[in-house]
Formats: sequence, structure tokens, C-alpha cells
Amino acid sequence: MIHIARTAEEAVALRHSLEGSAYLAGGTEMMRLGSSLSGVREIIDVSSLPLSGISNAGGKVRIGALTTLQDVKESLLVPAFIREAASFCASLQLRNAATIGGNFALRRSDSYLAAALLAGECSVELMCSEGVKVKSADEFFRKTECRALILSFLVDEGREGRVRRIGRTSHSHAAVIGAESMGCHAFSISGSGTACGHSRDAWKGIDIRDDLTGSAEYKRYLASVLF
Amino acid sequence: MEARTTINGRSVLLQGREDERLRDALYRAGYNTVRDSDDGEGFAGSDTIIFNGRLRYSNLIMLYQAEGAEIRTAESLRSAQGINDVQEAMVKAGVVQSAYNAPAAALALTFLLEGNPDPTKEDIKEALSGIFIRDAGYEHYYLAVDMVREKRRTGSISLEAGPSFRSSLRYVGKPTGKIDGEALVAGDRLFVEDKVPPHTCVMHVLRSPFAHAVIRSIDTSEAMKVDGVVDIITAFSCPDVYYMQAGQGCPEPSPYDRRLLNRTVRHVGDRVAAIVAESDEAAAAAAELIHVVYDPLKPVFTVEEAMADGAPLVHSGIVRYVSGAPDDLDEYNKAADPDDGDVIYQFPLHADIRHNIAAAAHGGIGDMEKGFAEADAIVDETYQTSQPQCTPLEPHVCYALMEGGRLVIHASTQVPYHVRRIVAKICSIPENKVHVIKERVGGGYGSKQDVLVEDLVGYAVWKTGRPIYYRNTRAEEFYANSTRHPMRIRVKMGGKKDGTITAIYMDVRANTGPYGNHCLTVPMNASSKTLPIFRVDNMYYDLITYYTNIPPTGAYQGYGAPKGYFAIGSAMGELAMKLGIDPLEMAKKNIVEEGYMLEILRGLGEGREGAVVPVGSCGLREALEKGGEMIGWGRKEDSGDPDWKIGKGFAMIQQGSGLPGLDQGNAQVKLLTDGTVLVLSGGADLGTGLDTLSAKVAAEVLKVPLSVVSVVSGDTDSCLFDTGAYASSGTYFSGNASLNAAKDLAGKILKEAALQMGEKEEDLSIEYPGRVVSRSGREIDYARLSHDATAGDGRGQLIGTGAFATPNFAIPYGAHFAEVAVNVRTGEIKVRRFYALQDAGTPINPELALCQMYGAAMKSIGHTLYEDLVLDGDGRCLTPDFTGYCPPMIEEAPDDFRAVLIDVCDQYGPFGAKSISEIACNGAAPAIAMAIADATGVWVRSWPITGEKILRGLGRF
Repeated sequence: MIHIARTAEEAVALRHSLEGSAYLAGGTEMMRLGSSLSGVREIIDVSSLPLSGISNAGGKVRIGALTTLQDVKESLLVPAFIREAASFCASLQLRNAATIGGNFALRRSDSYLAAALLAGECSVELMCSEGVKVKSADEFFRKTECRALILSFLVDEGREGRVRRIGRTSHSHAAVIGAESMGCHAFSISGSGTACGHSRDAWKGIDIRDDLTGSAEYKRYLASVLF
Repeated sequence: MEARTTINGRSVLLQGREDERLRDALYRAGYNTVRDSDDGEGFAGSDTIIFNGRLRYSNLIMLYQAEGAEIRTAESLRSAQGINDVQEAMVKAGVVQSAYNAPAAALALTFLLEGNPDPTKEDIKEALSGIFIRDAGYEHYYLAVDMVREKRRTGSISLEAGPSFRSSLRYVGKPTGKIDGEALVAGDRLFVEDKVPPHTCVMHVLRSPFAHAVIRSIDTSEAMKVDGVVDIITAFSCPDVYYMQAGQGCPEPSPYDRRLLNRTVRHVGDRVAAIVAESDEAAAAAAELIHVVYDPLKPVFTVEEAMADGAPLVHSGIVRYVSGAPDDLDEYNKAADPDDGDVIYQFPLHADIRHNIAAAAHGGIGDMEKGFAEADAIVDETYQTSQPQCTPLEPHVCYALMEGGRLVIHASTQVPYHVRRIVAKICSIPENKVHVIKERVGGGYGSKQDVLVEDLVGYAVWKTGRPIYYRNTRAEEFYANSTRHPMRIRVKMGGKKDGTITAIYMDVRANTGPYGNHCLTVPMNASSKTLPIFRVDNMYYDLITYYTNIPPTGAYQGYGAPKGYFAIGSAMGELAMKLGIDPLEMAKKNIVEEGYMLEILRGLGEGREGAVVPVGSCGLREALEKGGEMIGWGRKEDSGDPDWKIGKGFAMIQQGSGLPGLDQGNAQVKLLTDGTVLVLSGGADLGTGLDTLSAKVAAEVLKVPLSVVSVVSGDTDSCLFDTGAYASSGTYFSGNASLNAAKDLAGKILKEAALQMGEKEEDLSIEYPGRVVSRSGREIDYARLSHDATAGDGRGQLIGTGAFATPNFAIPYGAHFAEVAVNVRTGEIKVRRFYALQDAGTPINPELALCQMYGAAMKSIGHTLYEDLVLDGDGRCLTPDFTGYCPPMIEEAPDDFRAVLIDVCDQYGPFGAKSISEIACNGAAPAIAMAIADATGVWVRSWPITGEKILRGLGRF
């Protein structure tokens, strides 16, 4: 069943009331062969909500949750390391559809953007059942059962940082994605998890496992030498 | 639901389920350029459209989301005036080959140029970043964009898509574009899926969850009750006919070790039941209701497991021989399990299925002991290759129906005549009851040499009388299709300090998986296409192929040669390093040259005694020297970053041009009543330009414009027999057949003209554009000649017929050079430069030849560095999609990538031509392995060469 939300509040209300529901933003995960959302029975389409666009105010860059990865990549307002992370999605067709909010909310261990947004100490503006809240990206990311809808990301204007992606090919699942910004490090490690903190050893909090991208030993080594 | 859309500027109401993929609705509505190569994975890009002003994958859009949308498909690129300038440039540049997603690429580039008339290389890369090109590589797409720019600036295109050869010829050796290029890039209805009418039945295949099991029973009674289910075929109801799926010349050097469905399943994904139904939904519902009782057996997955004492036997049935049965066969069969199914050899292949050995061969020349005794240094290393999958963008597909009491099969195949023979055998009907129509092939690369779906569909249609369409899912392509045979190859090589190689020993252990498709020929190519490049007196090989329970293997561009070259090329590099000499100088010291007698071929005849022949035309030395100059061989490069080390490597390579003594091509060339020409070629053009080659050959001989020559090929009713497009046979065998047919027609034209003109035949000659002239000054054009020949008082239509079979070899040679950068801290690998230099004789279609070299080299780079079909401990495929399997995309293409044609003229090929594309798969693995060793000191001896393996070699963890 497809429900087209007319407001963020309605979307969140539907998400709470419908068992087996999920938000549909760009649709690249929902529709993808082998999707992690293949069990979803109730689709809450938020794609027509006015949540896209990038603006700058008060020293903060606001990136709407429905902003596509291509728009993130192309915007000169967005810190360079976050733009570079958006380009880790190597297909133009995917970047034209996938959204920053969708990519972050999926909490994948090979997420294109999670490490950059976490290291960038972004804030996340959310619509919850209680209304709008602002949380740190890290806090949102840890709360895996959260049914809130991301409205936007806020990051310091001109924030500097670095990102690295190690994967076999541009389109393969990345073994390790790391980001560093102003002393904050974040790592997404395939098949294992994501972690961030003000230490280059932040990855040590992840239970790193073997998978198709490489052995646990290899990924631990990579995480230790990325920065 | 109905979605109101605007498609290509017109209002269109799309109908379907609201959550249906938009691609499916578009295709159903007639937008057939919107194809599907990945079942909605969002990878291959055949489904690309412009959706509300953005390039998108239509598979990842639900139909309801298209409400009110502005959509553009590749159909918008064509107008009444023809294709657009981007499409024209793509044809001219040679990138339109198998072309399954050529319309999508044309759409992406057109869209790019609309917004950015002067794109950079990076812009073009981005535009093509989501489109998987497997056949032609990406290099000439940049050229195509340059051509568009030039045409928009000057009104014409002067850029050449490739060099020209043989100035005395008009079409042969000239980049003319494919004769079917316009239709392919425009997206005409040329593929099998485009031929399927509504209300055609579908087929679903229920597959084994076990790698090895006996099926005790199958209960289909509940499934048959599902509305719309027509029939269910199982091992208990299929014909008791043994055959094999390799499309090889008959008698085949592969065992008949399977039926359509078998009581023993031998890999995860093996066929259990074929459900014929009137809808996908009915078939899927029926599949859920089939009750199968399995007795699981212990599987074996590797050569080591298969050869172990007491290993489980993949085949334990009765062995039979059509000829050459050993004297002790009855004794041998006493241990057989008759329920397991027969294994029938057409002739002995040194097999021993009681030890999982499907085939074996041994032989050599000289004195190995003496050779190694003379060596100053010896390397003895083992190299392991993986199981790459061909990944044609169009998966295996078949549509068949009964028509006038005959079985008509629309196939995407490289071997239409083998399909006819094999399907006729399974149905127990004569070949005249089967008509195979080879449609355009959206990528073959060897996997469509194997008859993997036509057998089952053909039989089901014959049995039920219903038209049936079947298409593999992408996942089925990975686990129930053909792949490269994994091989473990030990090479022992000895050499002197002066660079002379004194002896080479190859021990090839190949893994054929559950069935013996190509179990002799592919592994044999690991030796038969590598050892003959060496002028070495002492060489010996042992080849043993084992049955296991991995997904099926079969033909793949290059057969065993890419694996053999990885091993022998790496070993030569290691030996040179050990001796402290330059490997390129070592290579040049030990290569064959024209006239050298290839004694080593005596034992490498694919199941029969091989012919000892001299080396013919050979551009190998030139390729090595020129490639060395291009890459700056011997000059150490410095990245300026201590983490990034740069190294260089090379490989010397050869292949064949078909199978002399085994292959045969046949063709007819007809003069039509208006003086135009129709070529009927048995050859199967799988996108490589074989039809264009046939047309050029005919135009050249008959001295007519290329535009008046049309080609029909691969239709078993219309055309004459051809063994098929494999083993690099197209140019040499099918091309020579067309040449001979054209020559025959030319002779008949002169004879008929002499009669009509009242002149002596010896006074007549053929002249461009299609006329016969006499020394006396009189002339007659072909239109008049043909009209009068076919008139009521004429002597009949002029038709030339040609066959080609030969004992002579036309071996292509080449050298590939690679420069890589390796990050010794992170293991990242980048192929900075790759130069492929090949001697193709006279390249009849030079631009297509170059693109095939790029495409094959890219595949080979993929196999070397990225691609990996991974199984779990139970034999289940863990990489049943592109993202997991990791083929290279445009981002992985070398920064500086060049293909160079070395100019030699062959003695036997049509107009001096030899084969082109298979050989190009042979160079990347050894060249890259050597370059990585040069950069890091680490030899990685297994595919894929990953960063993790290099880091381990460096002792980083």
C-alpha cells in the first residue's frame, strides 16, 4: 500500500500507525533488487514534501533531507569533504535519485555519507511524534528504531575535513569509509558497523567482521592507516 | 492504475500496478529502448531514461511516481530524418557492438551535450558513470563526443575512428561503421524479447537448494492445479536423452553427462523442474507447491577436494563411449550407480569419473630433465584463477513456438546450427523440424556458445505445443550459467643467465563444475595458446579437469588462454627477476617468428592429434618493441608520493582464428534482380561486426557499393551451415566462406555476361560500381544482367556458394603493457596506463577491432583485479548481482588506454585478416601482475589481485 504524505507530521503519524511501514524518499533502496526494505508493506512516500534544497544562514549550511546526492555533490555551499562523500555513490543515475536523508537514515555499514556527516558533527532536524527536534547526527544514528523523519542536516559553514573510501571498484560495496573533521573521526566498515569519536581509534568500537569486501584483519588495518 | 505522463513530448497514459517498475510499463507501452540488464539493481543502466529533467534508472521508479512526469526515452533521438548526431557518431566510432544498452548510452550523451556542448573527459565519465559497457570499452565514447563536437562546428566529421589498411581496397580495412549500426543504436526491435507477442506462456525453473543431492521424488500434483499452469517437466518426465550444452562441433570433445533435468542435482541452482504457465504469477505460485524430497550428498568444490582420496563422486553413473571404448570398460562400470545417469564420451578424453576426472591430456616436446639441468635458475610456482562470469547485458533468453508443425526458436546464440542439432536430439526429431533464428545478441562473450536455455524451452514447446518465452534472471546468470573454469596452474620454468628459457612445464588442474562443458578444450587452451608462443625446445604439459559442485563452467572469451597466460607470463617475469635480467629482453629472446615449426601443437589437438604447422604472419616482435617504446620500458616512474609506487609490466600473447581441421563456414551470395546483393551467411554475428565483414568482402569482390549489399545470417532455414561464432572463428571461417561465395558469384557473373554480351569470358572484367566491361568497350550493369538472367528465357538467378575449411592456422599475436600505481599503505591499485598492441592481420573493420580490444582488455582487467564469484561453504553464490560481483565501470578504465593494430597481412585469412577479440583477453592479468610486482616486489598469484593480497604480501598485517 502506498501512502503519499502531504506534510511531515502526517508522514510521521503514518509511520507510527502502520506496521511494516517505511519512508520512501528517492526510492533507490526501496526499489533496488535485494533491498533491505523488501519486507515493507506500507510505503509512506515523502518525496513530494518541500524538504530539498541547500541554504546558508547564521554560519550553518542547511541541507534538506530530500536533497539528492547529485545536488549535494554540486553545491559549493556544502563542505568539500561532504560533497566528496556524496560522489562515493558512483552512478549519476543513482545520485540523481538518492537523497542525503535516505542514505543516512538507512544506517548502512557502507553508507556513502554517514562517516562524513558524523565526522562533520552535523545536527539533524527531525520531525517526531512530539514535533520538531534537533539532535546530533551521532545520536540519531545510534537510535536504530527511530521512526522520526529527517527534515534537514545542519553543518558548520566552511567546515574542513577529509574522507577516504577503500573499495574494490567505484561501484562495489566499500570495505571502509573514513572521515575526519576538526579532530572528529568516523568510520563505516562494511558488514560491521559505524562509529565516530574524537580519536583516530574510533573504529575500535566496531566489531569488525569478514565479508565480501575483505577480511576483518584487512579492514582493521585499513581503518588504522586511513588517517 | 493509469499514470498520465508526457513521453518524448506526447501525452501517454501508462497502465499497470502502482508499485510496478516504470521500466516494465514503458517497455510494455512500446518504448523498447528501455531495457533491463540487472532486474532493478540500479547498476547496468540499460533502463536509463530522462525523468523530469534528470538521468534516472527507470527500474527504480514506481509507476505511480510517473504521474504528471516528463519522460524522455532513446526513442526521442530518432526522427524522420534518421538517427541523431550522437547516435551517428557512436556508430562511426565503433562503440555500437552488441548494443543492448547503446540507446541508453546515446540518450545519456545527448542529454549531456544539450546542457554542456563542450564537455570535458570528466563530464563524459560522469554521464556514462551509471552505464555498464562490457563489449567495446569506454574509450571510443570520448571519440564519439569529439565527432559530435566537430560535426556541430563544421557540418561534417573528419575524425577517423581508426587507421585504414590496404589502400588498394575500397571497404576492407577501412572504418566504415557497422551496416546494422544505425538500427542497433536507434533501438530497433532486434532482440529476442522484442519478438514475443502477448499471451505467450512463460517458463520458470525451480532450482536446487543443494550443491549435491539425489531427488527421491517430486510431487507436482498440487502445483498442476494452479490456474494457468500448462505443464511441469521434471527429471521423472523429461526425455531420457543424454547430451551436453556446449555448442561444439560434432562429435564433441565434451561428455554427454546430463539430461534436460537430472535425478541427481549437482550444484546449487541446478534444474529441478520447469514450469510452463500462462503468467508469471501462476508459475511462481506453482513453484511454491512443488514438493521435492532430496537426499543431500556431500559436495566437492575445489580441485583439491575433487582429487582427494575417497572424495565424493560428482558423477557415479555408467560410462559409455561412442568410439574408442577401453577394453576394461565393463569392469570399470561394475562400480557404477545406474540411477545416477550416464556419462557418454564421443571418443576417449582420458577421463576417470570414479576419480572425478572429466578429461585429461598430456604431452610435450624435447627432454625436460635436460632442459632444467641446463638452467641457471628455475621458478616453480602455482597460480590460481577464479570463476569470472561473462555478464552479457542481455541475459540468456529464448522464445519458441510451433509453426506449421515445426519448432521455431528465436535465440540469442553464437551457435544456431548447434542449437538446432541439440534441440532436435532432445526432442527426438529430425533437424528439418527445427528452425533456429539467431536474433541480435546483446552480449555473448562465449556464454552464448553454450545451449543453456534453448534446450529446455525448445523441448517444452515441442511437448506442449504452446509458445513459450524464458529469460534468466541476473541471479540465475551468476549461479546457473556458464563461467570461466577456475584453474590451478603450476608452472616450472628454467632459464639461463643470457635469458634463454631452457624448459617449461605446465600442470593445469581445471575445475569444470557439475557438467563437462568444454572440459577438455578450455583447459587445453591454457597450454595450446601459450606454449606455442615460446621458441623453447623442452616443454611439457599435464592437463586434468575435475568435476565438482560449483556453478557450471563453460566457454568464455579466450577459453583457457587468459588463465594460462596469467601463469606462464607471471612465471617468466619471476624467472627474469630471479636471473636479474629484463623480462622484456627475455621475452624477445624466446619468441617464435614466422616459419618456426610449432612441434608443440602435435599433442594439443582438442581430442585428436594436432597438426604441426609453421608460424605464419607474426607481428609479435613489433608489438613487443613498439609497446616497450610507448610505455617507456626500463624507465622507473616516481609518483612523488611515498605511499604510491609505480610499476610496469607486459605480456606477450597469441590466440587462434577458429579451429583448423574442425570448423567450417558456408555462405551464399545472391545477385538480386535489380543488381543488388544479398549475402546469406551461416556465421553468427554477436555484435562484433561479422555481418559487416561479410558485406565488405562481397562488396570488394563484386565491386559494388557497400550500401547495395545486405546480409542475412545465422538463420538455419535461410543460410548454410556454419559451426558458429566461437574460438575466434568468425573472420577466418565465416569471412572466408563469404569471400569464396562472392568469388563464385563473380565467376558466374562473368560467365553469364559473356553469354548475354556475346563476348569471350576472358575479355571481360568486373568494375565498380557493379558492371561487367569488355575489352571491346561494351558493358552491362548488374541490374540488366540479373534481370535478363531471371527473365522467362533466362538461365536462372546468379548465386555464388562458398565453403571454407582448412588445415592452415591464422594465429594473431600481440603484446599488452600495463603501468600501475599501488598505494603500499592502503593497497589501492590504479591502472594508469594500458596499451594493447595486436596483430590482427588486415583488420577488416578497424574501428570495431579497436573497440573489441578495449572491451576485452577491460574484461580482463576486471577479472584480474575486481571480479569474483564467491560461494559459501554450501556452494551458494554470495555474489548474485553486479554490485557484489564487481565488474569494472568507466571509473576503472585506465587513465591512458590505447589500442594499436600492428600491420601484417596473413597468408590465409580473408584479405589477410585474422581474429581480434579473444586474444585481447589474454594480456591484462600477466601484465598487471608483473607491474604490481615491479611496483611493490609482491607477486600475487591468484585472481583477483586485491589490495588485501598485496598488503599481506607486504607484511602489513
